[in-house]
Amino acid sequence: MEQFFQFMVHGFDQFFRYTAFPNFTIGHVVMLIVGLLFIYLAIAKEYEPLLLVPIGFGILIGNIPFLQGANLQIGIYEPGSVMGYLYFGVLKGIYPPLIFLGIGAMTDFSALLSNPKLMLLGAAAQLGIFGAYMIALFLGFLPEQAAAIGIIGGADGPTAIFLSSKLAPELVGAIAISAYSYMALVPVIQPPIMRLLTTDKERVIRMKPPRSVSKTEKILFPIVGLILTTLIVPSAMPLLGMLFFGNMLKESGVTKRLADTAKGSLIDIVTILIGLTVGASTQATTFLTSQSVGIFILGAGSFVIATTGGILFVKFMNLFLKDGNKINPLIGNAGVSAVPDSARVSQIIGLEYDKTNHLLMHAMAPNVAGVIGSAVAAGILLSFFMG
Amino acid sequence: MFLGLIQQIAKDTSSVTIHKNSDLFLKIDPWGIGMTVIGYVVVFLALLFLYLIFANVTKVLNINVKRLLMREGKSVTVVEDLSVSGEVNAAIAMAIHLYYSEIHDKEDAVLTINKVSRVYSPWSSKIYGIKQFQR
Repeated sequence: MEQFFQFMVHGFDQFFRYTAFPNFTIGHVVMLIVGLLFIYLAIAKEYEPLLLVPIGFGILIGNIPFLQGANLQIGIYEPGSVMGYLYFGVLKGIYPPLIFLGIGAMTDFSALLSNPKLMLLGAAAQLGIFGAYMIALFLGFLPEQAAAIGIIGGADGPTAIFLSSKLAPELVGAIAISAYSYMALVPVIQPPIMRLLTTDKERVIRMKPPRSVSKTEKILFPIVGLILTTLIVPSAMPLLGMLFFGNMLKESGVTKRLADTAKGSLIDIVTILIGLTVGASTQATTFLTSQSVGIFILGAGSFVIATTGGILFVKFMNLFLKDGNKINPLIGNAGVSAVPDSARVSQIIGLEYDKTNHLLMHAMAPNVAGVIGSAVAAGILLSFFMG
Repeated sequence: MFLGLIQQIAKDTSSVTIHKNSDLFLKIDPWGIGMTVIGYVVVFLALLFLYLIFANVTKVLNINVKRLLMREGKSVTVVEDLSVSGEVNAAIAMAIHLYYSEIHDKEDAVLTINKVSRVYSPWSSKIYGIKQFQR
C-alpha cells in the first residue's frame, strides 16, 4: 500500500513538473500579455488583423512554458517539433517569396504606370532602411545585424523576414514583430511627420487624374520590371521574381485560376504559417533580450526616417516640376511600402485639408513602388553581406 | 545614458552567425556611409530605369496606333495624347453600366393622366403610417 502511495506521489510530482506552472517565468507572463495585446489590437482596433491575430496567437503558443531539456519536441526551437518544421519556412526564407507571389497577383500597378515618375518616391522612402542601418551600426550592432534591422524601415514584413533569416537568423523574431507592429501603427506614426514637413499650400495641391493604362502596358510591366531590377540586383530574385510572376498571372488575363489561387488560398495559407511561426518564435527564453528592445526602438526610428525621406523628396521634385504637374507631398509617405495603409493615410490627411482632393489613387503609385524598392534594397544588402 | 544602454544591448552578440564580410565592413566602413550611399543610389537607379522606360512606353505603343490611323487616312495630329483620363473612363463605364442595367430615368411604367381607381386598403393607407409627424 505504501509502495503504491509513493508511486502515486512520484507520478503526481512527475506530472506537475511537466505542467506549465513550475516552468513559468516573468518573461513568459510578459510575452503572454504582449500576445493578448496583439490580439486585442487586431480585433478591437482592427490594426492589420490578418497579421496580428496569427502573430498574437503564435506568441501565446510559443510562450506556454514547458519542461526544457526533456526532449518533448514541442518548442519551436526543439529539433523534430512540428512548430520547428513549420518555422523552417521562415528560417530558410521560403514563405516570403510565396507571399510576394500573392502580393503580385493582387497588386494593380495601373496607378504607377499612369504616372511613372512617382516610382522615384518608392526609392526615396528607402532612406529609412539605410538610415536605420547607420544608426544600428553606430549603436554597436554587427553590420549584418544592422542591415537586417534596417530593413524594418522598408515596412515590408516578408522582405524583413527574408533578409533577417539570411543575415541575422537570431533576430528574425524580433525584427518580424517590430516590422509588423510598426506597419500596423502607420496611421499613428506618419500623420504628425506629414503635418510637420508640409505647408498648408502644399497640402492642397491637386494632381492630374491618372490616365487609363492599356493592357499591353500592364503585361509589359512585370516582364520589363523583372528583367531590369534583377539584372541590377540578382540577389533580390526570390522576392522580385515571385512578385512580378504573380503580377503576370493577374495581368495576362489567361491564367485567372492561377492568379486567384496565388492571391487567395495560397497567400492565406502562407500568411497563417508565417504569422503563427513568427509569433511562436518569440519564446521568452530566447526572445526577451535587451537586443529585442533595441530593435524595437530602431524600428520606430526607421519608419520616421522613411516617411521623412519620401515627403522631402516630393518637395525636392516639385522644385523642378511646372505648375499643374506638381505632386502633393502628402503622398510622399506612401513610399513606405505598407500597402495600402500608408496610401490610406495620405488620403485621410489630404481630405482633412481639402474635402474634394482625393489622393488615394496617386498615393498607391509610390506605395507599390515602395514594395519594389524595399525588395531591391534587401537584394543589395544581401549581396553585400552574403558575398 | 540611454545611448550607452542601447550600445550595451547591441554588444550582446552571443549565438550570432558572423558573416565573413562583417569584419571587413567594420574596418572599412564603420559608420555605414559608403553602404548607405551605394545602396540608396542603386535603389534609385533601378526605379529610375523603370521610370524612364515606362514614361516612354506609351509613346512607343502609340506609334502603331498613329500609323494605323494614318493608313486609314485619318488625321492624327488633332489628338496628341491618345490616352484617356481616368475620369472620362469612369464616366463612360458608368454610362454603359446604366445602359445595360437599365437603371436610367425612363421607367418601364405607363404614364397617364386618366384617373386610376384603387380599392381602399388600410395596409397601404397613409393615415396609419409610422411616419406621421405631429402638427
